[in-house]
Amino acid sequence: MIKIALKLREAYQNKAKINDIDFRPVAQYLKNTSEYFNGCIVTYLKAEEHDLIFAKQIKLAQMMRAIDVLHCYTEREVINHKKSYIPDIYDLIDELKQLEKEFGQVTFIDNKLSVITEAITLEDIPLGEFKIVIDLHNTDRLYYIEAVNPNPAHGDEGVTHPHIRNGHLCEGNGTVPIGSALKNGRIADFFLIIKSILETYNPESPYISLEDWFGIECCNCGESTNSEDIYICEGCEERFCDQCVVVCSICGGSYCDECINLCSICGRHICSSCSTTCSNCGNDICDDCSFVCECCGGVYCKSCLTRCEGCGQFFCPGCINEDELCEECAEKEEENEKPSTEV
Amino acid sequence: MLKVLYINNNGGGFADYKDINEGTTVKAFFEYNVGAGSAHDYLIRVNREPVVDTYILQDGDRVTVTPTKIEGA
Repeated sequence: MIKIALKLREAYQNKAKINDIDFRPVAQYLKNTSEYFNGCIVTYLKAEEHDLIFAKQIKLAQMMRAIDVLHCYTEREVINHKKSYIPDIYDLIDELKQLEKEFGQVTFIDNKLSVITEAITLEDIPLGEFKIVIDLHNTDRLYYIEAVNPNPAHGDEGVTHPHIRNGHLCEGNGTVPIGSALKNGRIADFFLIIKSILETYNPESPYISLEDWFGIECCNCGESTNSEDIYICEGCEERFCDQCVVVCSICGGSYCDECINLCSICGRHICSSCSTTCSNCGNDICDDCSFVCECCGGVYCKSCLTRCEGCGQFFCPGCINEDELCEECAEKEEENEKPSTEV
Repeated sequence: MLKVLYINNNGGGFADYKDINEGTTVKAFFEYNVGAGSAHDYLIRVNREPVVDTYILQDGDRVTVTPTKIEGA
């Protein structure tokens, strides 16, 4: 226990050294900015002496920017340079003793401090025990979580818990208390907070929801597949596998069989947004297979339009006569057939 | 008046000394600072040990409260 506490304290001491900053470049930066600012004042006063309004405005703007920079930089450096807390060795020993009582066993191997939780079940899905590990030598990732006997989500073995992917816990509401506990050497609290997160399911933002833990079922064929191979029908918003989804030939949208149409002329799959209905036969047609009657402007499929024998344009059944003449051509023909009244 | 160190590992967190009257139980302290009726949703430790809710807080005690349910993301 003492050995572990010493190692922990050493890790805090090392971290404190990393956090200490060298103020020399900061001081030089501030000095340069101050000299610039002073230069601006001198020029401003000269501009004022000679009543150069525009020059004064420019110098004033430059001085204000310099003040902002000085203020922001100084404030940032003061905030960053906080004295790091190094916990007392006896406090760390007490923390480790509490940790042992809370979890039953504390392990320290290769500078990794770990405990194992009890088996966790969320919404009747057993996820097993989890090993929470603090790696004292890893500065990139201080801790990680391993499933002891993983029961990962279908299609992604890295997701062993709704809020863990590849050992990384998405801390959510635990972010601040975790940081605070670690920073203040409250090691037992750190592990207890992690345990509380593991024992809680947040359905609002998991990596993979428990509902889909064993795969997502296709609404059509019932096959289970992972979330990356599932398509949502843009019509009914149900979920379908890649075998059961159909793509609209016009817009490329994904649809199920119920929500997609077939163009009655060319046979292509078309969604309701890309299709229209023939005003005569009522069949679905795509835009490429739809035509407009030159007379009434209605939309028809090619099969329902007739070419006028006179002008050669296409007309619907309502706008062409039995002789396959449009109204205009029919009138012309009537005119031509009238006997001459000339004497 | 007695002083206890109170650490709350909930939400934004809290860690500071609180003044309490002599004879204040853990239950009363918890209900005053966290809320009545929710003790079963928290791990309450005094000086790093679980205690009964009738435990009377002493000067210098360290009280830690950790929610048993914390939502990850």
